Amino acid sequence: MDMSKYKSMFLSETEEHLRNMSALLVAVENDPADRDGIDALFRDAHSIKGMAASMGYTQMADLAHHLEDFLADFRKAGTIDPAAIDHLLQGTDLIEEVLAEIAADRPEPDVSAFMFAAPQAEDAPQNEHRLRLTLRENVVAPGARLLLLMGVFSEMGQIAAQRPSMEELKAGGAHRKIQFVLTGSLSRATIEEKVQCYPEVAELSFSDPGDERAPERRKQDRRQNSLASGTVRVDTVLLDRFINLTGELLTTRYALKTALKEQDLRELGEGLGQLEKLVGNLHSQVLKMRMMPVSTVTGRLPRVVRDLCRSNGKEIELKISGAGIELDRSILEEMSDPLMHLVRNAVDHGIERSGTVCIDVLRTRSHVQLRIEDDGRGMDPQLLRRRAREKGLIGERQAEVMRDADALQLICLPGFSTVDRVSETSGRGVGMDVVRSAVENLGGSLLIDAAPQAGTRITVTLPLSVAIIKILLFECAGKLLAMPLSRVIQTQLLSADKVLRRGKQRVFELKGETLPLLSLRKILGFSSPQGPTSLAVIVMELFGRRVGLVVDHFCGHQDVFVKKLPPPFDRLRGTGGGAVLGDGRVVFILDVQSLLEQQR
Amino acid sequence: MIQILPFTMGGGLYGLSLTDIQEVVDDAPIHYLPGAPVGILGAINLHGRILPVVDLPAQFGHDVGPRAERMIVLSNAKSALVLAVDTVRSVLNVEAALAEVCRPVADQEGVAGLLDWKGETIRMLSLEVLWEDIRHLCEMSGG
Repeated sequence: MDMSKYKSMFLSETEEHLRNMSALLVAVENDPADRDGIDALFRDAHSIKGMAASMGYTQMADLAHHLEDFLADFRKAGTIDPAAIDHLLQGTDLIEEVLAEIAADRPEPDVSAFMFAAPQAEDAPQNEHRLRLTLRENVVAPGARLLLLMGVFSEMGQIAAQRPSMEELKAGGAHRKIQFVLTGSLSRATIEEKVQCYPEVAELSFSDPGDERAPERRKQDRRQNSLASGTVRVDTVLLDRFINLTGELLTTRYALKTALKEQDLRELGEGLGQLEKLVGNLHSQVLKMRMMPVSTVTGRLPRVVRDLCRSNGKEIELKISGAGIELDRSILEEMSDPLMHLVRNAVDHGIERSGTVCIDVLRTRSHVQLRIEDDGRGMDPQLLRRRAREKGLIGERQAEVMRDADALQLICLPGFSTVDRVSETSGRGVGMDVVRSAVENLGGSLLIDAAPQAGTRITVTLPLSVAIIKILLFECAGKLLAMPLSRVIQTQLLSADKVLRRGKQRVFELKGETLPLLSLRKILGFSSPQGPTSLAVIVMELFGRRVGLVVDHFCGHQDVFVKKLPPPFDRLRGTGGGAVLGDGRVVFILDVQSLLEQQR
Repeated sequence: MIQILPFTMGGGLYGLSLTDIQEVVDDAPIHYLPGAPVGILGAINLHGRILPVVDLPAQFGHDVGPRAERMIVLSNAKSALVLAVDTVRSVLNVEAALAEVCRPVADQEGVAGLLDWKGETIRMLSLEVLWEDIRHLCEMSGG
C-alpha cells in the first residue's frame, strides 16, 4: 500500500497530540494530582505509538511506547513528580525532532539513548559548552538581539571567551554571529530547549570537548505543525454539506441546459439565480473550512512560559480564555510567532517577580481580538517620549504634542528598543516593530495600553478572514501603481513597430484580435509623452471589452492587504484602496474604469 | 489654560487647539493617489494606516508653491485627517479667558475667530467648515 498519502495526515495528527501533551504536562506540573490530565497524557502517547507503528516509524513508535510505559506507573499512583515531568517534556521534544526528520523525508534518528537515561538529577555537574550562535538573515537590529541573547545565556552560567565582546556589540555594527564558552550545570539539551524560544536564532552549534558529534543545526523553526504542513481536518458534517451542494449544482446545471435548449428565458434566469446562490454558499463553506481555533497557536504557550519561568526564576501564571474561537488558518499561521513574542515580552519585561499573564480571545461581528495582558510594571509614557526623542525617532514638536496613549505606541517603531533596554524600565521593545507589521500586514491593528506600575495590555484586532490579494506593480510617469492580478489578462512588451493606427486610435494585434491601446499617462493627466521604445502593455477588460493599457514598466507582483481609504476619501474615484508594501511605501490599486467614467 | 499649536501657510499665521491634534509629522513621503483632485496631495503611511493628505494652503486659496513637508494629523472620531502646512511653531499656553475672547471674523471662510497673541494675530481654524469642505471635495470628485 502507498503510505505517502497518509503521511501528511500522520504528521498533522501527531503534531496535534504533541501540542496537547505539552499543554497537559504544564498543567499537570502545576497540579501533580490531576488524574484526568495524566490519563489524557497516557492516551496521547498511546495514540502516537499506534499511528507511528502503523506507518512503520519504529523509532518514534518505540519512543512513544516508552513514554506510555513511563506514564503507566504514575497513572496508577494518581500523581506525578517534577523530575518525571522533565523527562516527559524532553521525550515529547524528541518525538517532535523525529517528526521533523520524517517530515523532511530523512531517516529517523536513533532515540535509544534517551530511553535508557534516567530522569535528570537536580544538581548536575558543571558542564563546559563551546557555543556558536547565528541569527536569522532577516532579523532587525541583530546587534541588539545578540546583546539580549547574551543576557539570557548569562543567566544560565558563566560566560567566557566571548567574541564579539559586549563592548563591541554595544558599539553597534551588523554582528550576526557570536561565539563563547558557557560553564554551568545545564545540559546541552536544556540549553537548546531554552534557545528554542527565540525565533531569531537560526543556528546554535555546540563543539563540546569530548563531543564527537558534528555541530548540529538547530531545528529551523519548529513550527512544522498542521498549520504549516498544509493539511486541514474537516468535520464530516461539513463534508456532507459539500456533497449536498454538489448535488444541487448538478441539478441546476441540467435545468440550465434544458432552459437553453428550449430558449426559455424565464427558466434560464431562475437557473442562474439558483446558481449564484449555490456558488455563494459553496464559497462560504470553503471559507469555513479554513477556520481553525486560536488554540492551535496558543497551545504551546504554557510550555514557553513554564520554561521561561524556570530560567529566570519568576512565578507566572498564564491564563488563556476563548481559545476555541476560530480564525482563518493563514492568519493564525502569521500570528504564531508574534503571539509568542508578546507573551515572552510580558514574562521577561512586564512582570518583575510574580504575576499573571492573561490571553483573552474575543469575537466581535467581523473581527477577533486577542488581548495579552500582564499585571507587571507597565510603562511610563513620559520615559518613552524622551527616549524616542533621544534616539531621533520623533521631532521635538512631535514629542510635545503627543498624547500619552500615542507615546505608548512608540515602542513599535523600528529602532526604538536597544541594548540598555535590558536594564531599563521603559523597555519591552524587542521585536515590537516586527509584531506590529505582522499584524498590520494581515489587515489588523495593534494597540498598547499601559501605565507605570499598573500592567500592560496589548490588544491585537484581526479580521476573521483574509483580504490579501495578488497585485501587479507598475510605474507610470514615475508613479508606482498596482492592479489586482485577477484583473490582468496578460502583460506584454510591445515593440514600437507593432503599434498600428486605425483612424485616430492606436491599436495592436493580439492572437488575431485587434485591441485598442490606451495611454495610462493620458488617463491620469500626465502630459509628457512616452519614449518611442517598446511599450509595457497590460491586457485587461474595460467596459466589457479587451484593451491594452500602456504603462511605463512593470515592477513585479506581490501579495498585499488592501485597505479602503477612510471616509470621506473613500468616495474618490480612481482607486479601490491602497496597500502598504514591505518597504513602507504606499501603493494604490488603480481603478481605470472609474477614471474613464468620470472623464466621459 | 488651553494649548494652541500655531502654524503658517501662505504667509499667514493659523492655529489649532492641541486637543484636536493627534500628531505632527515632519517628513513622511507623500505617495501618489491616482485620480486625486487638486487639494489632495496624495497619501502617507502613518504607522501602517493609509491617510490622504489635504493641501491646506490650496484649500485656503493660497498660491501653491514648494513647501516644507510638514503635516498635522488631526484626531477625529470619524477618521484621521492629515493637513499639509508650511511650518509649525512651538505650542502656546494661552489663558482660557483670552482664547475665549477670540474676535469673530466675517470675511474669512474656514476661520472660527482671531486670537491676538504677543502682537501677532492667529487665525483659529474652524474644523467643522474644513470637514465640510473636504467632504464636498471628495463628493464632487466621486460624482
